[in-house]
Amino acid sequence: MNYVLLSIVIICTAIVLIILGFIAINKYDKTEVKKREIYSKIKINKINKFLNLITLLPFYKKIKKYFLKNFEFSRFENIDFVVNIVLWALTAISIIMITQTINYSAVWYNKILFVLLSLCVPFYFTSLLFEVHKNRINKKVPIIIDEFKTVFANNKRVIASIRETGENLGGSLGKKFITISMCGDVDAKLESFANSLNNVWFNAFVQIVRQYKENGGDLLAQLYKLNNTVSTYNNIEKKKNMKIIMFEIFVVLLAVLAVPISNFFAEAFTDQATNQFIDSQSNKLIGYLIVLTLVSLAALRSLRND
Amino acid sequence: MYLNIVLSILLIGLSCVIIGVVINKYPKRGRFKNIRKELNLLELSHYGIIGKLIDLLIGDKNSSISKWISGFCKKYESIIHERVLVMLKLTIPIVLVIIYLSVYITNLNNDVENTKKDLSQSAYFMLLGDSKTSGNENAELYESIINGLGEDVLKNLTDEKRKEMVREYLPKIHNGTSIEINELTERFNNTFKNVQLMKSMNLSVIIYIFILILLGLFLPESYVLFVYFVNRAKIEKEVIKLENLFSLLADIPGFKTDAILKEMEKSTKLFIKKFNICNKTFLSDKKSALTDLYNSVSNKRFKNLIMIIEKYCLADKSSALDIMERQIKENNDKTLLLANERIDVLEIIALFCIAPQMFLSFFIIIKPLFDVSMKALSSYSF
Repeated sequence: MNYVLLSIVIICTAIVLIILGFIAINKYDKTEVKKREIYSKIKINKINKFLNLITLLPFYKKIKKYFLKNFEFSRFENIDFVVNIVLWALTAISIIMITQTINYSAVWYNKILFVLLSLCVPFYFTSLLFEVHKNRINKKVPIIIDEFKTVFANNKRVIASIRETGENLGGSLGKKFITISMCGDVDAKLESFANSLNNVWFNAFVQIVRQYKENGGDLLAQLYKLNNTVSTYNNIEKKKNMKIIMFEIFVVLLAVLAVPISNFFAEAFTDQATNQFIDSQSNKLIGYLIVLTLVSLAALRSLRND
Repeated sequence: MYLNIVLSILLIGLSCVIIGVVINKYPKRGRFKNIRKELNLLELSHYGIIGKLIDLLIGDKNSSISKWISGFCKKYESIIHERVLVMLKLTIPIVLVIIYLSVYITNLNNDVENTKKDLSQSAYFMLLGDSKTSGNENAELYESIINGLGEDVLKNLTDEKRKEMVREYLPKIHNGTSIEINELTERFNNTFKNVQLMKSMNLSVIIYIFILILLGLFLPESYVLFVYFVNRAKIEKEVIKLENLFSLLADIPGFKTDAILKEMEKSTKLFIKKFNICNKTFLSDKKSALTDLYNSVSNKRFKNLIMIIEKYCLADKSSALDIMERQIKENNDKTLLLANERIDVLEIIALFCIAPQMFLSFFIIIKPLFDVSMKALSSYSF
């Protein structure tokens, strides 16, 4: 019965997500069907107003701010809409997790802890994915600066060289650079992108470029110096931030998978597996496990320096 | 279970008190109150009985407790205010003990219930031939025997007399052959003894409560210490980053000092508050803002960096830059040489953080295998 309900919920959410995705990512040629685009935009705004209701829940405004900041890398045009969809999907996942896990245990304290864990895990996991993505882009910063330097040496013009670096880099990052170069206010766009990346050296790069546009000076020499400092600093830093992120992923996976694996073993060896923890000893163990995971995740989060 | 009721009333009362204090202190945004307040622990620590208690404890500056706490906060650069620290010290042990007691009582009830259900499960197998029973009938049978004979009466009897009484009483409420009734009395006796053992107050509970109170008393301090050691491990890298950033940005023509300080504020997390205060007062009074920043930090290298910024801002730019670059070169050689050999403190702390969780989850994964082997060992007769 439970599985039937779960499958119905999953199928419904999938259909809704597919429909919304079709509306969000318009694949038609824009010059060909302009009317349709306008209609879809109106529709998106209407749907978005409804989707935005989720921010009435506590803590959701802060979460949405964080998500908006991190979705700056993506090539979606309507970021607000996409973030709303992601928030709805994550809450759906956590509700499914609650319905699946709440009957695992017969005592109240474990029920509360299961609810807490299943509320935390989806959001935490997505934030970890953001961090991994950010780390990957951070490694590319020296490459971006090098590319810009070589292009600028020939070109001597800032906006055109930003565009060309985008073309040379390729991928989603390159597309982002091209869109920045097409914008009216390049400085503001670059600065917002740097803020979302939160990388010190990219910030410095943006400042150097801005100062050059205002006051002039020797841009190539400054970029050379910047690249030197980035490489020496990266040698000191190494991959230590990534290690802690891997620890976090490990902890989350252990917390989620420990009980099902244990159940699997019990089924395989004793034929006594139940989907419910009845005796108080196993209840205590599960409670300790969840409390420890929450504490260790909080501690690891504070260790990571971003 | 009077204790259960008392505990639930206590829990509800505690939550009511917390909610009441919060609502009273931070009323909902009304027609004339457009300013929205956020929860501030320092304000709460001045309020009501808790505020008076804290005043009594650390109001006198010369008392040993207040000296110790202020010394601790100063030494470890506490991020928590002294009053809040004392408030947490007072409240956390109480909350921990209440949670522990309520969890203990629910566990005890759960255990008692389960043992009652187990009473005559195998007898039911014989009678009905049904392999899956919820055990509710067994619990009902146990309850009816207890209600009929009285728990206090049964408690004071010896094993033999208790069995006799139950054997005489059972045919009145349960139909069965004499063999079945004999077996049922045997089981009843065992479960009755188990339940009485569970209900008797343990010494371990008192020891646990004592440990929890000690743990709760020193939890705020341990948090402060954790933050202090983590920050100390992070500080060196942060300062290297700031030095490099300064030498980069100071070299650009037309880039002013306040813009450099703002960029520095953006790129740190440890010194963000200190830089924020400095940036606010920098434009009105450069010298005092920088000296305040200098005095607020204890790290030598960071102090040196601020000295150089002061030189750059107030005296000669080019000479300050030269000093900075020379120092960076010297320090970089040292740090690069040691980077491979040195064990990072942060990694050790991270390992310590995840070790207990890892141990527990592996234990849970292995537990069924362990149980199987223990059962096999116990069933094997030497």
